[in-house]
Amino acid sequence: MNSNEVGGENPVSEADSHRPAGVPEPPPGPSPEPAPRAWWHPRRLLRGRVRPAAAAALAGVLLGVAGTAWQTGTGPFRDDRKCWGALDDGDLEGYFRDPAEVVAHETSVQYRSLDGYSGLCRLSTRRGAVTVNVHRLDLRYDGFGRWGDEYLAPRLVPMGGGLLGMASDTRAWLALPEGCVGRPSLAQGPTVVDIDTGWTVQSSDVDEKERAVLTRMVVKLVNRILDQEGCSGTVVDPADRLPAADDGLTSERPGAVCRVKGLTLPAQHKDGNGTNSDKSGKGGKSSENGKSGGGDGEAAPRVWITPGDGPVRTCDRTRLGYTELRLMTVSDPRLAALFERSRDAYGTRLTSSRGRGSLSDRDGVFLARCQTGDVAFVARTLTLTSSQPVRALFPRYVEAEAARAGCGTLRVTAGTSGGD
Amino acid sequence: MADETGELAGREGAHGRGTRGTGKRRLLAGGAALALLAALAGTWATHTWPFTGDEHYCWGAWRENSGPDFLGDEALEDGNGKRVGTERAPTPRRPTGTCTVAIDTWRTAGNGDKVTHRTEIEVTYGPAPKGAAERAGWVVDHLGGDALPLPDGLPGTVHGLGGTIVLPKRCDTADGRPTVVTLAAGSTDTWSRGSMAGRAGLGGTRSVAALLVAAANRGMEAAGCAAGRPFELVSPVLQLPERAESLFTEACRIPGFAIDKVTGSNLEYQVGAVDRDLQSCSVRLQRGLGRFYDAVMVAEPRLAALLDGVTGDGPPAPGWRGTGVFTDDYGIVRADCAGRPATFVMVSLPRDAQEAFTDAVTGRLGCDPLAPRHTQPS
Repeated sequence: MNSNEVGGENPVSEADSHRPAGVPEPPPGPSPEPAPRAWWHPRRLLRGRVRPAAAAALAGVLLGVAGTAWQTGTGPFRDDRKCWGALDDGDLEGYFRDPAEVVAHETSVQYRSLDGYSGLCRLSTRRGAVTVNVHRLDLRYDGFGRWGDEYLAPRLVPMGGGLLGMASDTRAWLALPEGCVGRPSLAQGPTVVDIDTGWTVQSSDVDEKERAVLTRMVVKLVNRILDQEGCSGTVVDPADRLPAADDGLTSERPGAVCRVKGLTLPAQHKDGNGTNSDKSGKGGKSSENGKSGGGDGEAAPRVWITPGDGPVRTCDRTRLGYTELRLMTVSDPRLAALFERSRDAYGTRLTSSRGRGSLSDRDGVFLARCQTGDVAFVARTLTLTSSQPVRALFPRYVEAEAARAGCGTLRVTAGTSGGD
Repeated sequence: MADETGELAGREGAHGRGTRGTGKRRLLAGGAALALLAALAGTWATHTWPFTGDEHYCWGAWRENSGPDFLGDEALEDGNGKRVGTERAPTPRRPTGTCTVAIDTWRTAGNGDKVTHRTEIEVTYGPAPKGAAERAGWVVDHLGGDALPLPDGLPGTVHGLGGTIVLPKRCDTADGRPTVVTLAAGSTDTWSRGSMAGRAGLGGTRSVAALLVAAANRGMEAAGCAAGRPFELVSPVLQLPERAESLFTEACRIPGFAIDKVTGSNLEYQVGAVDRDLQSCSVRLQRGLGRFYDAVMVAEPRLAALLDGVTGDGPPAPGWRGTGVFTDDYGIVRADCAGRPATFVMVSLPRDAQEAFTDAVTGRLGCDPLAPRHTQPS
């Protein structure tokens, strides 16, 4: 824009000043130019003082365009990272065949004083989708609800290293660091970023490569939120040091239900063939056992247990691919809080010197006050008709697991039904 | 600006040869000198490099207007305040040092009362105290309370107003004691009628950890034991300490760590770290009115080295496992637990509380108890 001024205010360039642009001139000596060019030729148009001016103008325009592109994030500076700028194509590659095909729909991560953080990002192609959800866990629904069912399942392994997070090849979740978002109050669950690939796989082997991809994604998402919140620190990706998930091939030994030493099934309850043989004879009990006993012959239950020393130890006892019984020890108080509201939900009271709970034929919950905070113990029957020996098993389970979880020696006594 | 540089470059290419070039070159040189001067004036005026004018504190580890609030201009209340740094860096010949940053501000409250605010942040570089009793007190002060382990497995602890980091073995004193860098901050608002704790502006636990690590790295360099491997802080702070809780039955929810009800009514307990490297439980008089009981277990090797030399030669008391010393004021005992030595420091604890604490730790770590078996409460 100021090319003329620059040329004009330069008194030294008198060689240029007396020769207006566009006027033909003889070719300079050493230059081997064969013939004078037509007036419209670029070399002629850009001759003399016009040339530096034009070069300057061009440079300026280029810089301007580049600057604008950079500022607005377009052109070569286009930021095509997805989910709040957290995930680049390389991050998606391990999961989606063609990252370029992935379409992201995202709602920015927002904060409300009463409800905490919330954000959603859905990455989809024609063949599938991955949903990223940022939310504060809800103490009313998320323990016994779908979140607890899916994200605390034994297919997920703990991320370790002090991280409150777990991962499998279909689910991954990680809590936001407390140093950034604060410690949740008594009435709040932790705030997590979770990833759901849509499939709810239960029994097949875990694809460790896809698990690593989901882990890396969830870590990058958390780091992006740290960044946006102005918090320092970067969560180190634990993807290469995750333990192997349970392959479901190690059966439980007799007298060690869910591999808890000394946890025996009550004598009247027999797994598999035992219930088969006498099921047709008796009334209530046999019909309860009908489903679990029928069809699978002598098959012993398969057990899947969360490996490692993480915030949760979940044991799923499955038959024919269906989980019949889940026993959980939730030793991180932030997750144990998800089960607190169900502590008195069932008819039979459970008491001990350092905690209490309740129990029914199918389910049980107990919360113990331990040095690390509350530890929750949970038993759930997940099939409709099968009668699992929860009533007899659960108090012994709590006692055995309390010692392992560092709560010391607990004696759990079951009271009579409290009238409910 | 952009056009100008492009123009100059273009002209240089077209007319750089011959006699006419000298004048042009002179002009170019003059222009460049002018531009440089302008740039320098600009940086000077805006206080950017190299004319920052920013003070450095703590042996060059911290810079004014970087990081947390107390280093920024806001801390000075629009000119009604001053920030003063004093320091003595460690040297290879005298490997101890201190530095302080003190901020004094004053303002007039709505009722005309003059309110002064003082924040003081102190960093020390040097070994932990030598005597066993002082060492025990030092350890519970720095590793107990609401201090949690530093991120990234760094050998130390941090809380909202301070932290401690144990330097590598190459920085040990001649008598084998580890050198430690500590950071402690205090802040008070004072007015005509009294005073109360104020905001120190350290920026939270993660920021304290960063300040501590920076000071430790600078201190090691100054003392000549850095060996090119500084501490590196990468991770965020994953977990914050729980709140102190009123003590009704068992301190820190540890089975059997009970205090009789009359005394207990004015006490609160603070659960600190509870992991395989470090566990702590502190009992305090409420509202910060003094300490009552302190118990710490260290297994992290560099932290445990803080207690080398004061763990005695024989069992601390008849029937106890490991070696240690129990006096009326404190108890120190070290024993193998699940494959590595665990060292316990217990200050002012009665015997049954010592047993309860050690039992809780060994139960959690999965090793035999240290105390002789007694009837365990259920």
